[in-house]
Amino acid sequence: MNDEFEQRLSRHTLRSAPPEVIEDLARAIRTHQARTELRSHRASAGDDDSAPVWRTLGLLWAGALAMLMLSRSETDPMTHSVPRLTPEQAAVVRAERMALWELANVRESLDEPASTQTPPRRLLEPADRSRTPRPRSQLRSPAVPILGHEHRPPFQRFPIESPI
Amino acid sequence: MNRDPSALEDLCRQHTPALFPFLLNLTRNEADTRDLLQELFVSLARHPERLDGVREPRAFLFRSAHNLALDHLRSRASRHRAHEAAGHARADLFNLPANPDDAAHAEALSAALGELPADQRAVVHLKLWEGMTFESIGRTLEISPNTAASRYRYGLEKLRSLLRSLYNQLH
Repeated sequence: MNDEFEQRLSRHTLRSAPPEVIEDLARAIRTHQARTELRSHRASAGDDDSAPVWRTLGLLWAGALAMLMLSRSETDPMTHSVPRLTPEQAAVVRAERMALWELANVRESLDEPASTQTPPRRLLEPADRSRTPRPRSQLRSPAVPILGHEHRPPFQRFPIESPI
Repeated sequence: MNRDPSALEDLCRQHTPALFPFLLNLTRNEADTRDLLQELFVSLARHPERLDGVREPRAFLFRSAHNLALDHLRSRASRHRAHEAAGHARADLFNLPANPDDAAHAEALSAALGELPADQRAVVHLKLWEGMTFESIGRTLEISPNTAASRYRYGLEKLRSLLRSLYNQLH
């Protein structure tokens, strides 16, 4: 403070903050501190709660996936393991089966001449007239075994080839 | 600075009496001054980490208040300059003394301060009424001590010229 002019200026007292301004500020500080604390508390609590929920959901998802895989393997075990056959190979298989079936019937008839047992209708494809036969040109490789696998006699497997 | 919730309230109670006239001198409007103080302390309440590592809380608060006031003045100037001109007459910066001569001088000084650019006004205020050194003013306003000294000198010269006639009448 060098000269009299500065000293005179500095002698004027500044108006201080009114008390209600300070009280309003203190109240606002407390309010926002409480909100901030509550928000951080909720955020941390949310983190703690979400972990077991996600863990349970993960376990449920894994269990459902395992059940689905198991049911598919039990109900349709051959769908993905049977090789696809070309129409010519299917015809050969069909012919071989018929021959084996007739051979078996011949042996049974030799052992038991009085037996009148007929083969299951399901295995006699030519007798199945409910379906109209398709032209040979429209035949495609079957997605399921042709004669069913329950009574299938052992036969030589053909190598896997592409259907067309 | 620690993060004790009561520490910020203590800071507020301790420094608001000085921050209020500083902001009032810059904004020349009491409502704006209250808003800026609210903005300052609410911001610190929401982000207490801003006080981490602060060694001089007083300088920090004055610096924050100064920056808020400058932002406010820029936005206000771009919005409506007429409002600023009208605000000059309403700011009661000083306690009006009982002596009529001193009261007239206080009012004239308040009006003359309003004529200074904001950067000179801030330095004059901190030097004359907060008793800061140019070194301290430089740290507070983030300018060099030489810049603070030159702003003070220019501001004081302008006040002298504006108040000379009144000063000569009184003496």
